[in-house]
Amino acid sequence: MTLQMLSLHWKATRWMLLPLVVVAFGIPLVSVQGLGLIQGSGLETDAYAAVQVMSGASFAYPLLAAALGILLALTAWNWDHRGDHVYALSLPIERSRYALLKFGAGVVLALVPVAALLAGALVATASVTVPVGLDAHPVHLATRFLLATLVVYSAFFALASGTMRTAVTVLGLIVAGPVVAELGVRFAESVLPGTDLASPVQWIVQAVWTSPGPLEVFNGSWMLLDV
Amino acid sequence: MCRRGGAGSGLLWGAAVALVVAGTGSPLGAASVALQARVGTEARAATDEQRALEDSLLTRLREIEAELPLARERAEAEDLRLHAARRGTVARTVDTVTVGSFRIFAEPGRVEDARADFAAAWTELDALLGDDRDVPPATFLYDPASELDDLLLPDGAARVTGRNWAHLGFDRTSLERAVRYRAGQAVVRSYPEAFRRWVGGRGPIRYGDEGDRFQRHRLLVLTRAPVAEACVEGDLEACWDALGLRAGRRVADGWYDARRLDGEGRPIATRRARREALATWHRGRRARGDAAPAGTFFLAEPRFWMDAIPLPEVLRADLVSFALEQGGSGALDRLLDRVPVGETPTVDLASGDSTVTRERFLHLRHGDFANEVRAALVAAAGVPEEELVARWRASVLAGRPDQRAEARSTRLAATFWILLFTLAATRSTRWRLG
Repeated sequence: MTLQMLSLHWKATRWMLLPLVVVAFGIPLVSVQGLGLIQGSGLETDAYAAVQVMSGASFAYPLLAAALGILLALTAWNWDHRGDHVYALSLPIERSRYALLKFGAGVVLALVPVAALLAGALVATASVTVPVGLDAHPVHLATRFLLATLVVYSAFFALASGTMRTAVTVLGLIVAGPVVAELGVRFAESVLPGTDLASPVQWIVQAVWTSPGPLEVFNGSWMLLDV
Repeated sequence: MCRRGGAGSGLLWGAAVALVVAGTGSPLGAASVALQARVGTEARAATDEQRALEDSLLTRLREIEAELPLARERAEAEDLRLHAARRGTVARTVDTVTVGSFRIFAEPGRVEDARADFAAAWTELDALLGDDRDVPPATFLYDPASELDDLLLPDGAARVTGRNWAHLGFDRTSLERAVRYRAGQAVVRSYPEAFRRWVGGRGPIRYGDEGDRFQRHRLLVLTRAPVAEACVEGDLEACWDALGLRAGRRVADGWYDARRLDGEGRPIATRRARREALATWHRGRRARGDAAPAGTFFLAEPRFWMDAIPLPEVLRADLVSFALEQGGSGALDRLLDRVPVGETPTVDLASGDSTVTRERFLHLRHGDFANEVRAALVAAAGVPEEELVARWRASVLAGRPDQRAEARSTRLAATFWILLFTLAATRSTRWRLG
């Protein structure tokens, strides 16, 4: 059944996945375009210029990881949502096992663009002279990319595994909850002078984006060449 | 037979035409004149009206401009009142505590913390100074959570705050750093002017936490100068050169790569100040017709050559702190005994209209400065200069963070969340809604 799950997921996602695979391979190559010999001078790019060039392209990796994770998660449950999960629930298989098989298929598919990114990163680092003081981190970059993709994939996979109503409710709570809490805090501060309460939005943002929050993997260095 | 026409008839015809034209034209002409008069009147009226409008607007604008400072003051006062109302305080009570030569203001509940923090910093500085010098007196306001920003400080007092995280409390580590930094500033004020400029006003205490070490590492590796690259690669004399401490240096020849020029033909440098200093030097050189790479003018005045030094003040101050660490007790005394002071002549400058103005310069040749500071650092550290810079270079390059450790913690956190979300997905029938 594993292969069937994989085949089903592949069919649902292949035409959207293939361009992302190409992009994943191409970003590292594009990111090193400004490096190497400076035209007309015969000089190699120095470390400072290399870091500047790298940082310019580093935003693309987390964006691609997030897009990939969301794509794989939503396409995993595409057929099930069309039939309101009726067919899946009627199969002689435990729901948990069914979900795990689906999840595993998505993980396998996620490895394809990650492998493409690793290949692109290796080609890119082999094609330029790394300036003094910098190192190439193709494996570190590919690992971070894989983990970021899987975090987003697993979160949206869990969300999409239920009904649309569940997903909308959960998303609504995630978005509206902090906003309502923030408004409540500001109202309390205005009504009770001298009160200085913590900002819920700031607290939540910090909890999510810094260690050990779920999106902490998106922080940190996404540069192929770095100090 | 009589001929009809002729001059008489022509005249008659001409008169008739003229009469007709006059007859018909005069009303038109009159109308035209009248119209023009009317338009002119109306135009003048419009202009007058416009002018009156402009005048009234200008008057109102002047009134607003006159009211603006008062309105701004009122807004600021209201802002302060709201600020105090939010904090629930109007009057503050602070106590004073003395630690060595330091006087510290703090809220009653924080006095003991202030005493402990400043005692550690004062002890560290006192140890560096040895017997010949005392830690200079200084006044501080101890305000960890930035709650006393409505207090007016005495002249010369420094506020010490920690970093606050969204009202979750202040960061203890950042507060301790701030205390040590401010305490170090008290000592820096006693440095000779040129040396103080060379270290960028930074104190003698070295920060050893991971972020600082990584910052120093990055600064050394990313400095855009051949001498800095050579230092990273292991050339120790290049390290002295990059710090601005190599005598006999023809400034800007070798500090920066002349082939790496920006769009205005100036050497590329990491810091704008260096670019400007070099540009000033280039202009002066052209104006003087000076063929020499670095004229007396440039090398004699620290305000020119000091800004052109490749490695930033953070690293220069770090070398000093490192040397003091190596030297231990009394190291700062030995350093300050030997750093150069320079001369401060007052120079008469003739401006374009022959008005003479006087300007004070700090006169200290680069070569003299370099030699004397090097000797001072060696005396402070108590090790040969080659060994000193080698150890310092190694300590800076060792500041690179352990990326494997960082990656490990990220991997663990990510794996945890992946497993948690997967578990939620496998149990989705339990928590689905509808």
